[in-house]
Amino acid sequence: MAVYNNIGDTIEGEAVDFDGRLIRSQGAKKHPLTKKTMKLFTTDRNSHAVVRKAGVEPTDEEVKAATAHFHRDVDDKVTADALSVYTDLKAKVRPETIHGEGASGQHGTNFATVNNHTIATVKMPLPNLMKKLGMSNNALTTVNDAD
Amino acid sequence: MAKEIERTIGTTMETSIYVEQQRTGDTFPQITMCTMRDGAFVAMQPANSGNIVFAGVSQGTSVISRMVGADYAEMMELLTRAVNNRTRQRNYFRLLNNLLEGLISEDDFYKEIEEKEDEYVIEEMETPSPERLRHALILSQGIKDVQNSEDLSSLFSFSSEATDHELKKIEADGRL
Repeated sequence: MAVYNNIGDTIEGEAVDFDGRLIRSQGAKKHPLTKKTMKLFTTDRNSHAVVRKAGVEPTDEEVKAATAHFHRDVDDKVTADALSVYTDLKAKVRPETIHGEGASGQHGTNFATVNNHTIATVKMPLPNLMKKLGMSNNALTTVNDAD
Repeated sequence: MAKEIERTIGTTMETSIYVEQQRTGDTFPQITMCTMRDGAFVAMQPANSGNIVFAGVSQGTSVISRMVGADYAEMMELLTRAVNNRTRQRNYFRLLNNLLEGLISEDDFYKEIEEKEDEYVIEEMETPSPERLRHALILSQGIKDVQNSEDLSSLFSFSSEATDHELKKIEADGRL
């Protein structure tokens, strides 16, 4: 078991739990490395994803090489302010809002369990970068906010 | 660098305008100044003339790209791509709504996506150059819900690995 938090760090599992202050469904997208059509979710702030059932190494040599840096052991975890979470297209993903321990103050956190193939990667949040560059991001909106 | 150029051009320009004004008695011309990452240019239209005069300096191609409209063409292409990717998202959620409303079966839902992938599935198809990523970041200021590097790469069909790599460099530099 290990915790990863650098941009690009990735976990892969046959079952994965993930959470975040916000979870956004982003539709269908081909995973950039496995080329598999999957459902994409992104999370915002205080996000985690942890392998619950170990990932299976791909048999295709090209995909195997491209995903050699993935972490696939049970309890391997990524934690960051932004994650991309690709799940199997047919996976049932139903985020629940939870309050109390692990949730911040008056806001809850959204939590989801996926019992299918899932790949989660640490991404770079943009608002801080844009601010640093003196650029505006005031067109940003938040949706699916937790209660 | 651009600020240095702007300062130099500004001083030179003001001096020449003053000399010209003393010589002809004209009022100040209309001046447009544009500074970019690696250069700057001015466009000047004397008050009693229909001609517009350009002058500029550049260490890279950004001034030329701006003046010949290459930037504009690239931004149009990126925006078109962004609209098409948002349309793919809309199509997916429209189809999902049909499934939830019971208008189509689950089998029909997956079959439709599989058969018409280009209508529903976003694909990464380009490793962006630093310049294109810079343009994408500029455009993303006015586009809703671009919150992280995954949103940016999905919107413009950029390789997410390459996008992260370039964004890390931009963050370290602290400038575009």
